Amino acid sequence: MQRKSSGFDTIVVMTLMCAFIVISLLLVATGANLYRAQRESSQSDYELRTALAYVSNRVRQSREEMTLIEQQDVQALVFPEQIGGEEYLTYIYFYNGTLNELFTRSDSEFTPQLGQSITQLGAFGFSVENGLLTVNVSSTSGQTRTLSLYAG
Amino acid sequence: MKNNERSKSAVFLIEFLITLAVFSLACVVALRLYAKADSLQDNALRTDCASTIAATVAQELFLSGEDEQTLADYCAAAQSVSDGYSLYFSDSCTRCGQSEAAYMAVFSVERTEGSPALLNTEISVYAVQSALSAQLNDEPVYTLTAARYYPQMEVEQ
Repeated sequence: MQRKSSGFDTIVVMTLMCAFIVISLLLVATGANLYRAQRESSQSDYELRTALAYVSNRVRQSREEMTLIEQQDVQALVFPEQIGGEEYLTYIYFYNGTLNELFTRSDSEFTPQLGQSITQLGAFGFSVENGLLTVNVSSTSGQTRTLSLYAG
Repeated sequence: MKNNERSKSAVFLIEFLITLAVFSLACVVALRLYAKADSLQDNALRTDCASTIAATVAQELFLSGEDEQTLADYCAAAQSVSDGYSLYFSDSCTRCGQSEAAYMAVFSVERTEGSPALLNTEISVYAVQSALSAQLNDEPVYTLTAARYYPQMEVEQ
């Protein structure tokens, strides 16, 4: 009788132990999945937000009229500005999976390789229609966002 | 001797049950934190998207506000609702039809009395699951109040 009781105790303890292990693993797996999903989502949001905030601030602070160019298969937004009587240009363009900025004198050639990387992106496109600049941005994970800016 | 063994077994069982109880409590707390984190993340994404939509609508309105006819055309292209006009946007913040919409932007637009060169707008962006009940005072995800001054209109006056 005592042997039966001892066997039952062992089964109960083993069952509880198994439940404990399974639930622990489930909890860790759920936490890890959630953490990964949130990290991906915040990374994607960071890329989109950085690109859009950067371009919109650049457009709004520009005193002279911005232009669009396409050179060496790269589309770029060009912002001219006068510094000390000299004209300089700021190019914003998508090259090699990153949004880049290049600041040069107006008589220098546009060389996309020399630009400074702002943020990684999946894609970056823009168009101007009736004074409205529409910027389309895709993050590396494929999320997209569109922003329209008054470019007059 | 046997009694001693049984007593040890009972103590182990009690100890194990206490561990399980503490673990269960920690599980409940962790799951609640996971749910809260998920909801905060969703909320942050929604707010971010809604602010982008509000900025887009404001920029379009300000561009259209340069003359009365363009502004009237812009408003006519939107759906008229009791608080003003509404436009629908997808979750990538692009304009879309009501059936594919993830967000609804409701905007009102008016010129300041005595100074028509000042265009005021208030844009509220709602998540679309609440779009149909948006008029029942559901909380908007994001609200933007903005104004733009058109000096050339003052000169025309």
